[in-house]
Amino acid sequence: MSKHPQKAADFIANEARTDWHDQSLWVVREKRDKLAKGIAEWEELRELASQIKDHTLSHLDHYLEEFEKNALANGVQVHWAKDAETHNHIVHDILQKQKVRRLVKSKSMLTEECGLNPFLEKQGIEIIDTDLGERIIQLKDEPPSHIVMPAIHLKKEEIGELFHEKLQTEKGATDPQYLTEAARQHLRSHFLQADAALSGVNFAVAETGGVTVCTNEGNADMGIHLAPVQIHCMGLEKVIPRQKDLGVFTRLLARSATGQPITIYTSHHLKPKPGGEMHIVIVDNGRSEQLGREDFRNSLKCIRCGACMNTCPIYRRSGGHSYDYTVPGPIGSILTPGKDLKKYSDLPFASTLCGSCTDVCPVKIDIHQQLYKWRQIIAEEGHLPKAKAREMSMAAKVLSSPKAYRRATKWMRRLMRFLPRPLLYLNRNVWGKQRELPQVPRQTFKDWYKHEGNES
Amino acid sequence: MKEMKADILHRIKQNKANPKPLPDYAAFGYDFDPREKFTEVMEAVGGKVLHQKGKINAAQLANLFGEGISIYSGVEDFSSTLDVSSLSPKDLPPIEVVILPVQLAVAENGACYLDESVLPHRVLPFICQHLIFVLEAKSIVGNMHEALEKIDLSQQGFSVFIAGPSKTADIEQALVIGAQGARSLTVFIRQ
Ligand code: SF4
Repeated sequence: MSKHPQKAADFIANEARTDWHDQSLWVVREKRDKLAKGIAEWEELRELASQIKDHTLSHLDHYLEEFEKNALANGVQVHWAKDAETHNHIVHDILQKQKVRRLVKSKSMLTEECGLNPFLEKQGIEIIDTDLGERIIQLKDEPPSHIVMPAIHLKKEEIGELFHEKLQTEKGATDPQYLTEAARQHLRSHFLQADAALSGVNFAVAETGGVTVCTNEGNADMGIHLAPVQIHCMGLEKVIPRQKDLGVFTRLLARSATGQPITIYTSHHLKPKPGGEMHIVIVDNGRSEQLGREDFRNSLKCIRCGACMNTCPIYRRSGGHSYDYTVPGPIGSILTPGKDLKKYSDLPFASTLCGSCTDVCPVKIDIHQQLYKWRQIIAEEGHLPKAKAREMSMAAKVLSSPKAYRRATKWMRRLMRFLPRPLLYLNRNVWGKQRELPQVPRQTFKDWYKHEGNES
Repeated sequence: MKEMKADILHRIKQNKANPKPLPDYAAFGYDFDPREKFTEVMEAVGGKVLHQKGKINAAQLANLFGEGISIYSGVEDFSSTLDVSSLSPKDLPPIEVVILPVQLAVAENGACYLDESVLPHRVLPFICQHLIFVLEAKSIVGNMHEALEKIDLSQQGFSVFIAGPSKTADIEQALVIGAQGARSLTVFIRQ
């Protein structure tokens, strides 16, 4: 219970590091703003993206079938997986049939969600994550802390140390250029040895039966085109109706994600390469249930840009690992309770409900409102931590009676001025940690209004 | 397998919302000059843009990359220094420079579109050290909507938009050009 506060507390224990993390993400948020402002029709694009996704989700069975039909006609083998376990078995079967020993992977949050790596490793298959950030955390044996920038929590000194140990770079070397070059050489040798390549999917176009993969490094394409077997794993919400809709989404995605006009590579895979084979695995893993939760279904519109994380004051200061789920941050906090309400009951509270996530979301998911709705459900089902439940019921009593509220504010104003700090910032007052209480106004608004109102 | 699919689709049918309309929309307009904008954006992402009258010659390439480099050329101007069609994709790493004709380019984001028809191997534009595109000035469109009206993805097994040299910012958000794909991208725009 309540892992997020504990993990966040561990993270912010190092203040300098917290500030650095906060700043790094804020820079990305600012880049996003700059790029978004450069497009006059930005808001129209968001609205269109939202409507296209709403439409698709309300005809999801139809579009998935159309997608499958066209993919099959292209010579692609299509597989359906109801959950993570089935997904892992399907991938393993494909690899076994082709006697694959070495698999290169490029960024796929879905395989992370399904726990594919440990599963395949147990079967004796070597898996190399090839996106630089993903490779770093794979070597470090850590989960990603962000969906677009998986190693955003690490300092270059730590990466230098890691590469020195694992890739024999010079001791003490921290220059990103140098370290990236070392990774390039290291990964190229793996690309050339791989028997199969697996990638995630950004968009699956029903009209063409093709999948679109967006990356910056070129690792997905290196893997896919060099290995005889290519596998693309996609959540079933990735489908979009038409080729033309890619226009709307590719214009929004990279601008929202990292403040780039488009990712360096936007690849469209439709047919297997000559002499090769191509597989697409369509994965449910709880998505069809989420579709049935009226209040939360539109979380399936998410295109995984990460903008809500970069802007979130809680995410920026608590780090991705504190969420303990593949997709952290605001969107993760509305996806997780649907998976396991008890386990993740603290995440919808890891928010100030400031609404910044909703403002930046390129597909207009009402993230903060969904967080609020989950809070209500969590409270109703009795999953609130005791201290929070006690405070809430006290607050409810005070806030529901104007008289009690007036009395409370009057006393609080007096008390807060005179109470000694140790008492105010008592250990039991979790709100006092890392926070300064505001200056107490001398007058309540009500008194001020009475006074001013009489004068004019 | 069949059951799994039927099962998933059944659940979707039960759970999906009432039908919502699919919006239709036309390509948005723009108020920039596509050629100028393309150059500006491409340079901002670390690419190089050169205006070219006539053919590209050996001296120009030597100027850019030095003498004696191995080249695959997909344009008439220039012949390849080795025959890649006889090689397997995994034998391609020695190729340093790849020159390809680009079908279309997008001004708003610098994305250059090419498909399998110009690629003896799909991996060619990714595995080379340096990439050169040759683009007709009239093939530059304003934005992605326009581009996707002009091309038909279903015609090809593989196609790609490439919008600059390969890059990463995975180490402390420091931009490094030349992550895993091409280290540089030069676009020759032909009038
Ligand atoms: S919820 Fe919206 S902002 Fe957050 S990752 Fe998804 S698409 Fe991006």
